Order: sequence, then structure tokens, then C-alpha cells
Amino acid sequence: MRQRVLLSLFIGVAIVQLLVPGSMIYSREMTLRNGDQVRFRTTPVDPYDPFRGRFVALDLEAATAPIPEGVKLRRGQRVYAHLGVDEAGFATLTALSLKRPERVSFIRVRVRSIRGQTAHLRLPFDRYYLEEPVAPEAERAYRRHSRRDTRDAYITVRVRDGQTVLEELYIAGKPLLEFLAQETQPSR
Amino acid sequence: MSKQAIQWLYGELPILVTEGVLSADTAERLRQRYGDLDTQPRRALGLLICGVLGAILIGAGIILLFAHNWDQLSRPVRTILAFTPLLGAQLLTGWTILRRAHSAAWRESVSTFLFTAIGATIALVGQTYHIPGDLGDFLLTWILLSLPLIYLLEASLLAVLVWIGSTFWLSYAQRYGSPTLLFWPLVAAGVPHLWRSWREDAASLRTVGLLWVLSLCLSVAVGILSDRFVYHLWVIAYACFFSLLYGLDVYGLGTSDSLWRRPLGAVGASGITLLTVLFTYPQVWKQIHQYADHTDWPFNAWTPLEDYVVTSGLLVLALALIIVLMHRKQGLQVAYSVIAPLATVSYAVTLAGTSGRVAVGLFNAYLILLGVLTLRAGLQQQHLGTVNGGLVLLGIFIITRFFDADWSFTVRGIAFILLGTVFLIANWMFKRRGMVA
Repeated sequence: MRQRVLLSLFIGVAIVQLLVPGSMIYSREMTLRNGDQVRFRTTPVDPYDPFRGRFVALDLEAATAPIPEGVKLRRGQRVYAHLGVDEAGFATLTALSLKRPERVSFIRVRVRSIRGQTAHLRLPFDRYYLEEPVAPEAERAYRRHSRRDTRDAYITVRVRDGQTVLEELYIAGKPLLEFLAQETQPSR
Repeated sequence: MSKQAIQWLYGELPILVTEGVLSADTAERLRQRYGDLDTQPRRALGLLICGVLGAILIGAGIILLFAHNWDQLSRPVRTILAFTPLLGAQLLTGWTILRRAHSAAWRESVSTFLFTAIGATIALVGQTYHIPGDLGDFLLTWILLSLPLIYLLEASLLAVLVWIGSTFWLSYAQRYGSPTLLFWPLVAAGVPHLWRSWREDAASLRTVGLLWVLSLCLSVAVGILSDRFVYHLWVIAYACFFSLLYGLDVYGLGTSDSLWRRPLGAVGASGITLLTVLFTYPQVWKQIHQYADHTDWPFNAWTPLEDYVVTSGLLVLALALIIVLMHRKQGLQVAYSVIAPLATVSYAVTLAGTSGRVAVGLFNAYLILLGVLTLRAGLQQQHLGTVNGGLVLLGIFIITRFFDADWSFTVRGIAFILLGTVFLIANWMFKRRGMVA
């Protein structure tokens, strides 16, 4: 009897254990399929996470926004950042608000630090995971490339109702793996 | 009675019978009274350790393999891959509940394996969708999904993992301004399990292990949770916390003679000693009147309140326990626990503007007092460990003060000579009373 109760309770817990990662996958798949595509300029560097492996950390150029008049922000606070586009077609953060904006496209961010009337923000896409040997190579390739040409790395992000999913990292207009294949070939 | 005591008794019985102290009949009745000594636990413990280590290694291996991040795998393949160890571990857990519920080795290993599988799954999902690097959220999801297993499988190791995980989570949550109050329910969730284990056998490896982990995790948490708003509030919080741990051990939670089997007493006493030595340095007290600049800190509006509640709660509990111990006339134990009010008073006095001189003097005197009282108790009880403890405390005092440049040579010289004289007088008095020291 006790076993039956324990087992049915466990089945309940097991379903939750499956549903949580399941819903993480579902909502991100929906964003990837139906979200609007936005591009952010970035600089990639290579660090490490003990659980999730190698990734390139993204140092995003557009990670700042002006603080609206009369609003006092705290470090770590969650705010809504309104999305805009510059002349070159890359994303900028045009304004911040504490309430969910109605008509503009937006992302949810956290305040990293405050300098004067500018808030530096932690955007919800700060790392791009890569296969173990590829991440350091990606950083090196980017450094070599950026010395010769302009610093033209960017990411594409899908945005849907404030939720974002990082889609692809581009260097010199090519998806990262394609760029790496091209970069490493002549030297071998 | 603990297993060691019964084992000792059974070893003594034949001798007592041959020496004629006990009759064979009485010895037999004693054996019946305490039952057979279980000779199985060592083997069971070996099984358990091997099982758990196997589960941890395989689980960690899966996490590492996933972390390699195979480029060739498409998103659907990764999704299937993410759920494979989780489903496998869940089926194994279900089977264990049905068929191996009585085996601690199975319950502990399988729950540990499921724990690592949950971590592997959410890590792989995070990697696939480049979910941002908030280790705090990752840990919290992991802990919350694993927590029920403590009770469904009676798994002590999972309680240990949840406590350690919660403490790690706390340090991240505090850095990024997440609600740290959540730490308390997370820790409390494992406490009923500990309570049940304690009721079953307070001296068992399980209970002792759980108590060690809990007291060490709380030792870390108190520092994180008390020092965010008012600078150096940890002085009071830690003094009260260690006093409370030590007091609880003396009050009756510590049931064994060996310090190793009394985690509350061991952590409490070491904490008290460490703090006392630390508090004899003026550096600790110098900055106490300065308030932390918290304008740009990632804290919520109620963070100061949380700090105050934690610290004052610890103070009230520690004081209540000291009063109880005083009623029982446990002099030495009261002396150790008194660090709680002593640190609080020193903090208040320093805050009032005495530049810490009073506090430093008080704690130097307190360190000598603890050393002397411990030494005396050791001599009275003829307990070598306690004698050594007292000598170590006095030794620390002598060495630290001898090299302490904060006091002038004259003051140190006179103080050392006076103290030396006091010890010689004590020696002479012991001799006159005919005590063997």
C-alpha cells in the first residue's frame, strides 16, 4: 500500500521533472520559429562552464540604454528594454521602462551597473555554446580576423513577447562554423 | 544505547563473568536485553558507498559528455539525448520504489543518479538554446526538481546535495539580487528527514553526517545573510550562531563522547575559538562604525530587514539557551556560549565610539578565561583532550600577543610577567592542596 502511494507520488514528481525541461524547450522552439529576427553587434571571447561546456561569451555593443527621467534603478533589477534599429540594420536599445511596453518590440533585461544617466544591462543572451575544441579556436580566428578588417561579428536573435533565443553567431557575414572552416583551411 | 557502547559491553561480558562480577545467567540476560549486534552494517556501508560513488561518477560522466557539445547533433537529436538519462534514471527509481525500497544502497545510489540526470538534462537544454549563464537559476531549478526525492526515497545523500546546492545558490542569489529569503525553506525542506534519522539513532553515521553538512552549510549562509546592509554585522551573527550550535550540543543534542560524532559541538567550539582569536585584533573593530555603501548594491528593499531578522533571531535564541545552561550550572559551557552577548556588547560599545580598544581588551581577557577554564575542567575530569584544548587556547594567546605590534613592548612585557606569576601561584596552590596536575 505504502509502495503504491510512494510510486504514484514519484510518478507525479517524475512528470514535473520531464515537464520543466520540456517547457524550456517548447517556449524556445516557438520563439525560434515565430519570433522576429534581430541582429546585435558583438565581440566573442572564449570561457568555460563546468556543467554546460565551452562557449564564447558575447560582449554586446548595444548593452546600454538611457535611464528615463525620474526613474531610480537598482543593480540587478529587471526592466524592459525597447528595441530599435540603427542605420546599418543592427539592434539598439532605445529606452527602458519598468512596465511591459504595449506597442514596441522589447526584451527583458537586468541592470548590471549604473553610470550617470546610462544603465549597463545584462542581456538574456550572453553566451554561445560550442563544441569543446571549437570555442578557443573561434576566439583566435576572430582576433586574427578583426586585426585585418573591421570588427564585424554579430548574432541573430529571435524575439517573441519579450522572450529571446540566440539563433546564430556570424563573423564576417558568415555563420561561425562556416567562417572557421574557411579561416583554418589555408593554414593547414 | 549506541552500537559502540553495546559492542564494548559484549566485549566486557566474558571478562566480568570469569572475574565473578556477573553470573553467566545475568550476562545472558544482558545479551537478550540489548539484542544481537548487527554484523552486517559494514558490508551494507561498503555497498552503499560503492553504489553512490558509481552513480555520481556515471552521472558526472554524462554531464561531461554533454558538455563537449557535439556539433554534428541537430536540435531534435539533442532533445532526445537530453531526456534519455533522465527517463532511464526515473524508470530505475520507480523500480527501486517497487522492488528495492528496503535497501538503503539502492535508494541512495538511484536518487543520486536521478539527481545528476536532472542536472545533465537542464544543462543540455541550456546549451542547445544558448540560455544565458545564470548559474543561480540553473541551480535553483535543479534543486527544486530533486527535492521531493529526499522523502520519496528516504535518501540522505540527496538532503546533503540539496543543502550544499542551496548554499551555492545563496551566494549567487545574493550577488545578483535575487530573493535570498528562499534559502530558508530550501534548507528547512531537508530538516524533517534529519529529525527522523536523529530519532531513530542519534549516533548513527547517517545522522552525524547530515548534522555535519547542515552545520557547515549554515556556517557559510550566516556570513552571507548578515553582512549586506550594516558593515560587520557578521560579528554579532557569527558569535550568536556558533554560541547557539555549541549550546544545542551541550543542551543534549550531542550524545557521543567523541567530538567527531558531535558536529554541532565541534563546529560551534571551533567557531567560537576562531572568532575569539580574530576579535583580539583591532582591525575587526576599526571599521564597525562605518555603514556599508549600499546605494548601488543589487539588493531588494527588504534586504536590511532580512539581515536584522537573521541576526536578532540568532541573538535571542543564543541568549535563551545560555539562560537554560546557567540554570543547569554548566560553568565551562556557559563560558563558551557567552561569546554571543560579549560580541554584541563589544559591537555596541564600539559603535558608540570607543575605537575598538574596549572590545579588544574584553576579547583578550575572554581568550585567557576560556583557556584557563578549559584547562581547569580538563584537570578536574582527568581528561587529556580537554587539558590539551586549554593549553592550545593559552598557547594561541601567548604566540599571537607576543608578535602583536599593536601593543607596546612595555605593556606586553608587564602583562606576560603578571600572567606568568598568576600561573606560578596557581601551581603552588595546586601543590599545597595535594592535587596531581
